[in-house]
Amino acid sequence: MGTIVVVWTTITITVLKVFDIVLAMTNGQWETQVLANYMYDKLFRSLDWGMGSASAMIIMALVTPILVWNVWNARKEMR
Amino acid sequence: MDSIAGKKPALMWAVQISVVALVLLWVVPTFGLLVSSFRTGDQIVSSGWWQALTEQEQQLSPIRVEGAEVALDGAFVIEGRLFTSATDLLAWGTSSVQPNAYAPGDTADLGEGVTLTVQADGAYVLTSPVTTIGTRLPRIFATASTPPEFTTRNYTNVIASPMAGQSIGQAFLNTLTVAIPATVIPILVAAFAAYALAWMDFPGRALLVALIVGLLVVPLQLALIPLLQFHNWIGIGKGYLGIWMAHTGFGLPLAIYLLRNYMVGLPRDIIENAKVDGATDFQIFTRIILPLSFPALASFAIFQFLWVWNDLLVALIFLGTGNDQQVLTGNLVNLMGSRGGDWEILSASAFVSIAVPLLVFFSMQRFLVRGLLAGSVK
Repeated sequence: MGTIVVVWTTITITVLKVFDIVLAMTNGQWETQVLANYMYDKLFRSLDWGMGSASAMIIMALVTPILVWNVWNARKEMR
Repeated sequence: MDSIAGKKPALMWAVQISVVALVLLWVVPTFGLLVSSFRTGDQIVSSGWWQALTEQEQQLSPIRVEGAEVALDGAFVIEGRLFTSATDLLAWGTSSVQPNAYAPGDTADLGEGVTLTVQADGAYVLTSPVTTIGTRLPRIFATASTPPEFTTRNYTNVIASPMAGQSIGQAFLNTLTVAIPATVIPILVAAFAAYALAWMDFPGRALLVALIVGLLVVPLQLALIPLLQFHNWIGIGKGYLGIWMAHTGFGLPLAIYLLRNYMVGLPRDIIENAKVDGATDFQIFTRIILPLSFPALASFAIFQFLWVWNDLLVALIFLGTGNDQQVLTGNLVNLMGSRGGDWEILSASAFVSIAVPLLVFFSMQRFLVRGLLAGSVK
C-alpha cells in the first residue's frame, strides 16, 4: 500500500503541474483549461501579475496536504 | 516467479497481457509517426500510414489542357500528357461538379464539336473543328493511382531550413546548451549537500532533510514570478545563465533527496575506518563516497537531462520564443501553431527532437534502475 500511495501522490503533483501538453494541444480552449496553463496565460499574455500569482498560490494550496504528509513521514524516519 | 507462494498463473497471464497491451498502445502510434515522417505531403493527405506501402489513390488538382495546336484532317488537335511520372488514371472529368464522369479511354463531348479523350496513362487528345488559339481550354479533373513514394526530404528540410523562426538544427544546439550545464551543475552542488546530510552530524540536520523532502513537492510555478523578477532586478534578464540557475534550483531537491538516500546506504565501516585513519571529510568524500555513488549520480543525471530536454515552461519564461535562443520544445509548439497541417514536417521534427533523449536513455538504462533502487532499499 505504501508504494501505491507514494506513486499516487507523486503523479498527482506532476499532473497538477502539467503545462506543456495542454499548451501545445489545445491551449485551454474547448473547456480544457488547467491551472498551470491558466497561470502562464494570465502572466505572460494578459500581463496580469495579480491573477497569475493567485493561481500559483492555489496550486500550492492544493499541494500542501501532500507536502505536510511527506515532511511528517521524513521526520518520523529520521528519528 | 514460481517461487512466490500463492501467485496464480491466471493473474500472471493477466499481468503479461496488460503489459503487452500498454506497450502496443504506445508503440503503434509512434511507429505510425515514423512512417509518416518518410512520406511526402501529398501521400500523407491521401491515405493513412497503414496504407503507406500500397498504391495511393488521389484526386489531383485540375490540370488545364495545353500544348501546341496542330491542324490535322481539317480539325485542330492538341495532344499532351497529364503526368510526368508513372501514374495510372482511374477516372477523369471536365467539371468540378462531376470529377469522375469518364473512365480512361472515354471520349468526352464538350459541345460545339469539341471532343477530349484521355487514356489510362494520362495522354490526352483534344479535337476541335475551329481553332482553339485564343479560347479558354478545358481543365481535366483526374483521380489517379500513384505508387508509394518515400523520401528523406522531410528530414533535410526540417534540419536545415528555418521554419517558424529558426531551423530545428539551431534549436537542437540551443537545447543542448541548456541541458548539459543544467545537468552538471545540480550534480556538483547536490553531491556535496547529500554527503553532508548523510554523514556529517550538525544541529538542524533533521530539519534540513525534512525541508528538502517538502521542497520536492512544491510546484515550480510558485517560484517562477519571483525568480523572474529577481533575475531582472540583478540584471541577468533572459538568457542562458538565468535558465541554468533556474533549472539548478528546481532540480536540487530531487538531486539531494536521491543522492542522500543512496549515500546513507553506503557501508558505515569504510567511512568509520577512514575517519580513524585521519581522513578529512573532503578526502572521504572525494576518495570513497563519490566513486561508490556513481550509479546514483548517473541515474539522477539521466532524470535531470530528460526533464530539462522535455521542459517547455521554464524555457518559455527564461529564454523566450521567436529568437535565436529558442529551444526544441518551443520550436515544436510554434510549428504546431503555424504549420499544424503539414504532417510530414511535424512528424520529422518530432523524431529529430526525441533522438537524443532516446539515445541517452538506452545507453544509460542500467544505471537508472540500479541507482534508483539502491537508494530505496534500506
